[in-house]
Amino acid sequence: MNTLQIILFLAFHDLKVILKERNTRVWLFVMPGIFFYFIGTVTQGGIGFPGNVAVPILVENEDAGYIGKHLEARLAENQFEIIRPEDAPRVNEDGEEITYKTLNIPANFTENILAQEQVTLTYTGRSAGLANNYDLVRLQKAAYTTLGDIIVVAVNLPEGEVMSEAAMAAMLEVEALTTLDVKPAGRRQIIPSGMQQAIPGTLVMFTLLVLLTSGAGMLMFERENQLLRRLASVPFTRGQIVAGKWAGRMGLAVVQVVVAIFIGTILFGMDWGHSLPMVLVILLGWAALCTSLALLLGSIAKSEGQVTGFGVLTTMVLAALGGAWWPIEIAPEWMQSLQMFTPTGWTMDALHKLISFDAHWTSALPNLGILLLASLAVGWLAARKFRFI
Amino acid sequence: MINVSELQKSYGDLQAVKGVSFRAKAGTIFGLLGPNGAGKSTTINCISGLIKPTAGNIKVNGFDIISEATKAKQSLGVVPQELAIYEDLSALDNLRYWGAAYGLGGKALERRVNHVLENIGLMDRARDLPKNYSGGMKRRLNFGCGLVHEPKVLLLDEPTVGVDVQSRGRLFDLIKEERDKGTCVLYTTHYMEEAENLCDELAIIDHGKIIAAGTLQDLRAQVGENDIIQLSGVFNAKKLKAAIAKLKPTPEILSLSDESLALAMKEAARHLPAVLKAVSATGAEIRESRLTEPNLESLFLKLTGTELRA
Repeated sequence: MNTLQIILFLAFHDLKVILKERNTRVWLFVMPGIFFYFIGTVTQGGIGFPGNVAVPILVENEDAGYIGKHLEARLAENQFEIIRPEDAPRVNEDGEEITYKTLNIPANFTENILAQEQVTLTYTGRSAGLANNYDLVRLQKAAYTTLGDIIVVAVNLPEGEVMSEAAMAAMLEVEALTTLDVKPAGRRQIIPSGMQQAIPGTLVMFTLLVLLTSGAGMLMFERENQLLRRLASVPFTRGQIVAGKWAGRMGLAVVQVVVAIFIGTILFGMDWGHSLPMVLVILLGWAALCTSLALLLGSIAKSEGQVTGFGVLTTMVLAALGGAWWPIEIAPEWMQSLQMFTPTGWTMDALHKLISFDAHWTSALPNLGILLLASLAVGWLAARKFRFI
Repeated sequence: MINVSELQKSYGDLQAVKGVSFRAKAGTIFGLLGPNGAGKSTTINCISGLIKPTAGNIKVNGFDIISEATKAKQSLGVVPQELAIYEDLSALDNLRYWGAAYGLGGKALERRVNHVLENIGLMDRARDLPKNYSGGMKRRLNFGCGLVHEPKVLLLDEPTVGVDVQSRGRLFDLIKEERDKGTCVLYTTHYMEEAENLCDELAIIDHGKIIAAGTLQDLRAQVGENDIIQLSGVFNAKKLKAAIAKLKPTPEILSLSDESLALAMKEAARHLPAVLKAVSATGAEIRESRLTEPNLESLFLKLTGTELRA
């Protein structure tokens, strides 16, 4: 056998032995899909803005005049779906009570405004966070626009005339004299949520987890059971053996990446963006780094228990800090800075750029470079630390 | 087949092997006998290329294990002390893997695998996973993996540790079969009885040095016809030495302390009452006495003044 044949011989053997383990197969083939589903479902829509979807609002309009109706029209313009109390279902299809965001327009609303008396609108929100703040902004916009309409109509009233419903209604047809045109300075960055975040994040986390547990653990098992001792007496050089062990674990990482991409695409309709080849290259770079880390951990650990404990802990910490669990863009600034010191961070940053921010593939080249450099450095260290007994 | 010359191995200040030399020929079982920690495993690890010697050189089948490692290893088969098998791969797959690692392939590999399976008595369980085997079956598979490629030199590192009597007998038969085919077998053990029954040539190693070497007959000759008397209890070493010197015939004192005494003399069984009487007369309290006929254990005792440590 020549060197390449020896490396492939060892790699295929290791991959075969690792895949024989039931636990590894479960984590490799079953768990990614489950994690995609749960994390993707939980974070769906919870991070981004509602966008152009109309938000239902129950309007208790007790006003007999026309300004209450005018306010309703302005609410509809601001992406609210007006629901009347008499039309609002109290329970959903599952028989559970529905709670609404509610706006109360008091009786004599029109009358009091025309008499220039203070009136109070009461809004009851049912949620918190960014989405609720966005509701409040649009609600206030509707209220202030109504107030503006009243002022415009009042100012333009001919001497001796009173405000009319028709004049107010006409205001709804008037185009705004000034508009604010907002354009992003550069590419628009929509923070990924749901499956867009969960699938790449879980893929990155699982690749590291499987390599640091099964990949490193197998090496530990072989050493503890003197299989490496026996291998040392085989007519292969140390370099060929180390390269074979590395290649076997790289094979495991590639299997994990391919399985996760397949599940994400087929079962969850994941859109990998416009630079799929670069996404795959980044994931291969990540797989190479995970492989080198696995070889290093398997070489320096003293027991299988130590491998598992350290592997799981390291994966969880790096996944959290690197933005694999949640988009790092919503994390505090210090955490975003810290991300760029973690290998998971380098990978997630590249994936976000390519998948969610629609960036050019060259934007991920620095990330790829650092991943490859790190995998070479860690691989070199692992080769030095590799031991048969 | 194996030529070890002035082998030394140090770990920092600890010198595990201190200038070991021996030759093991084809068609012989060469025993490396010694207590745990004597340097047997270090020596065998150096021969298999697992660790680099600090000094000295080793040739396997004429090739230097350091400078011509690949060629030397091609002739080697190793059976480690622990079960070096993949328990999630069938016996068949285990043998195929180790055979292929030595370059066997195709029909030659299948022929050798089947031959070994037949020899180690696992043909009918060839497709089963070793994790479902008995301890003895696993031991036999462990042994088979070391000889699937028909090595010219077979290194066996205490292969019978923890093995039941029946499986041990089967392993001995297999080892002798390999020897009879012309394989050079290097066998390490700390069991004297095993070494006596199995080995054609022996080297006794203690504290990293070979203290005796030769055929079984050569080594027995070193013990002579003297039996060994061992006593333990509470003694006055000074008084005891003087009392023993007065005995006729006078036994040879192998070791003496305030707690133990070892003597060598011919026809010890006949003289034992006189020895015990003389010892008691010094005011000694004898708790245990043992009489051993000449064997390797008595040689070890004679050479080192101590019993073989397990």
